[in-house]
Amino acid sequence: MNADSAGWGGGDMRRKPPVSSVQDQHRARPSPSGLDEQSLLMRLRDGDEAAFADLVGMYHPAMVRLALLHVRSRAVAEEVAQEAWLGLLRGLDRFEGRSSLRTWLFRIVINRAISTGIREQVHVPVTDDELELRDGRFSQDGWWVTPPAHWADEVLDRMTAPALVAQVRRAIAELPALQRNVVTLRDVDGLTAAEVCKVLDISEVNQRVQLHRARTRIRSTVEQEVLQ
Amino acid sequence: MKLRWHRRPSGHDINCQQAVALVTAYLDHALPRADRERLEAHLAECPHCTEHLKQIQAAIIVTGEIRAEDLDPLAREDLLDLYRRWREDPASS
Repeated sequence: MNADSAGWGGGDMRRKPPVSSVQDQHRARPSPSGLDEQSLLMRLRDGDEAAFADLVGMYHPAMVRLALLHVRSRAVAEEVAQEAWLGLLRGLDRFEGRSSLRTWLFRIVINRAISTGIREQVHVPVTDDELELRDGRFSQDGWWVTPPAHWADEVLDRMTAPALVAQVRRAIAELPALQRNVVTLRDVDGLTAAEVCKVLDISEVNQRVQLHRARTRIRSTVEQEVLQ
Repeated sequence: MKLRWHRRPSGHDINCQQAVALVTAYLDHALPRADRERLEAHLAECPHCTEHLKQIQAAIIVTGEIRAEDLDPLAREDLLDLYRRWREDPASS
């Protein structure tokens, strides 16, 4: 369980694409509550229970959600997340902080959830071929055969509609395991690309391919829901 | 008029399929400058690919809504118990 290897670089300082204003406020939520991970960690080392409670508030729901991508029941997912917290407490003195605490916790949760999930034999993912077919909307020379119906503005008005969110949740559950992990970490929990590479131990290119496929699939799920 | 974007417009050199394939890297600010400029030139002329990009962004936002889930108070209590047991006796927990 040596997840704490090689620190990662952190913030993305490059120029932002002009079209992505909504996306920008959505990405990179390092600390949802505004609490600083490093100082919480220091307080935790000093035996401050409130610091532990704050960390749990910040990360536990996401950890359970991640575990649920691989295990069948919420109870088992809670157990997996709980073990990760215990792992943190036990290794507190040895935790070097070379990766962020969140990255470290998520990585442990995913590794444990995967091994538990393999024993449980959950999920029959769809193949990538199927996904490609669903987005086969281009001619041989690469132009739109069926141009997209225009609904993006409409969906922003009803994006919190429970039915829509439920469909997306279902679509994510049906994705192949790696896509499921990547899109949950990126678009649900708001990790950066670099963090996701670290949590899942995958290359930057692979991360992007998986994310691209997952988002393509989710886009078509949203479309079906909006246009029906 | 309707089929305009099916023809390769002059001035830039990627087609719609290539443009769509670049969207994820674009949103991550991970495209090399030349590719970014080609994509932006394409987007400026192609309402379909612009709509596609907006739809991907809409999908990302809807996905983000899954997050709106608070910590279960029982789970919180369990974890604080875990913490207290560990504090009392770090070796046995």
